[in-house]
Amino acid sequence: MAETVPAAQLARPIIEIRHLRKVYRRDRQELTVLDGIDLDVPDGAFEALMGPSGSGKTTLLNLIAGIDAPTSGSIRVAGVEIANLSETSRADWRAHNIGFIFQFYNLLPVLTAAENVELPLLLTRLSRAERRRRVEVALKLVGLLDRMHHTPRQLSGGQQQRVAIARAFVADPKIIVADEPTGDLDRRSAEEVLALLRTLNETLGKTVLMVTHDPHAAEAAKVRRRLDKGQLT
Amino acid sequence: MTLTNLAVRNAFLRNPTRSVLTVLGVMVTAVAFLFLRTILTAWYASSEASAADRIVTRNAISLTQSLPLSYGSRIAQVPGVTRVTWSNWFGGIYKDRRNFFAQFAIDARSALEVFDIRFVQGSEADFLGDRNACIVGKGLAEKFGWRVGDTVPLFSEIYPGDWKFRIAGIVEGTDDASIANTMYFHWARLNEGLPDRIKDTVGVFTSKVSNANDSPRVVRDIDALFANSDAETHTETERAFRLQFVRGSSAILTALQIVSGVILVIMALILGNALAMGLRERTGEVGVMRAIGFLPRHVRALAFGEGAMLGALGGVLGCLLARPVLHAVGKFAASIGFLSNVSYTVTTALATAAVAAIIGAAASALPAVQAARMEIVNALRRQE
Repeated sequence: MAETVPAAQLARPIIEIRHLRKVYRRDRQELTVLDGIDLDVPDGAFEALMGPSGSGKTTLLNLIAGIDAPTSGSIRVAGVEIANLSETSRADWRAHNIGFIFQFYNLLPVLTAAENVELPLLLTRLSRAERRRRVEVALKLVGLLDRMHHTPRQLSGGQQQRVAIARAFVADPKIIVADEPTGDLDRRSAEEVLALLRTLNETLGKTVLMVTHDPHAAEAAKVRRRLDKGQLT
Repeated sequence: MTLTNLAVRNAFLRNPTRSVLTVLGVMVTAVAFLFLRTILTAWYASSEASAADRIVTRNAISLTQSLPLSYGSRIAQVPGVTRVTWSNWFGGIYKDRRNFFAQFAIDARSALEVFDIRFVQGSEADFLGDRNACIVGKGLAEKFGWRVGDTVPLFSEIYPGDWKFRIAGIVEGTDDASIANTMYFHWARLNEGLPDRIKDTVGVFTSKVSNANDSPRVVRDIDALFANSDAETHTETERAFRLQFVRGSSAILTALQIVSGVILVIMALILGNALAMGLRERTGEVGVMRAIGFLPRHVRALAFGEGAMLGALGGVLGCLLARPVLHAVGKFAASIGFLSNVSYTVTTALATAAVAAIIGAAASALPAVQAARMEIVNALRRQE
């Protein structure tokens, strides 16, 4: 259940979920992680998904991002029923619509900050010069243009997460999904990351879905939802 | 930045110690593979260097049994035979048994017409004009420091006594590298000192035929000529004659072939193990790339490229290292009269490097397919 109802919620939903179920099977046991989820997320929203460990937050995020498939139900994201897409089509769809931010940044250590940001652009037909321009714009926005030639090992955790944020939006996706983006950061770095997510939402108009344990991080979102035992409460 | 660039960095920068050890492993196996292939090639080369228009006649019982010298003139009358020469294996020892090299007593004038022997130093006329003269291969002259005019003393257990020959020429073969490591002297000089029971006997006759395509018929005609005689003959092409010696070592050759195959398997295991470890360590990164939109084929291509690059680099370094090794081995093998054609060839080296690259790509197949097949959520969960 939403705790606040901002004006953005009046807009057309970019995410429409109906009767969503996700059941994991291990050996002969079945574990229902999500059970009958219905959810509408308006275009341009910034929502936080909270809940205890094992409540299904990350699973729901993965399903919305198209990196996992539901057991049953419908997930319509950006006008596309993603559960019906083939693997190749879903990969292409993700490349165009979803930007990912992970708890542990997941930058490629053999690449520089600029090259990590450029990674999603390798899937586009942009020229090298255009890719470089976009990378510089993205790194400038996260305040790391001067560190573009540094490798992840030469950056702090907060800086690495900012590079990961730049990577998430450099290809101009409609939706940014962030799984515990501040979970591995100190307070100051976490604030910087949350401020950047707000900028992506408010200035660039991205829909941001964030999974977090941290109530303080959740405060950055305009809408906060709780998941418990596989159901939205 | 390109995916190729990423593959290069994954291969060489991610874990430099492992990359160096993997490349060294491939390099050593490439040297061993190249070495064995070269030995095998050299082993067969002596028969491949044979002229198509030369045929060899020996005693049908065994090569150790001789033939009457008189057979020579009868062979010369077989239609298609243009020239006949003969020779005896001498089996002499120069100072010490370790100084092994081949010596043949030849009918000099006809031999120089049948075989393609080129004088590097000295002269044909000097050799032909002196019954005590000999000609020595260039390799032997280099090994023992012989010069034209020197005397070579030999001790023979087959033809007892001390023999001395003056070097009238230093020679090499234009189509047969073994000539450079062989000594030739006059058959007449040998024959005159032999006891009557083995006088005027010959080890083999070598005939030159006017048309190589006629060889099968000439072979049949010669053997038919001496059928049911006291010394029946066995005639064959020079290539077939030389192949007997190779076939005599068939067990060794088969073992070498198998070992060279095992070396390739070891190379594949070294590469496969390194690639599997590398891909396993970056499961999370593979998950991220897949989440971003990269397809399983991109993951496979990266892994194949990585394996091919590690294999190719190891192969190329192995080929470079093999060059001096093979030169040294070749010199040594020739010096003991074992193989005279052991030499580094660019073709074999390129083939080795290509095989290493292909094996590198092939060895990455299993880990690449496994990584590409992995569910994205599982890959992302693996690193948490």
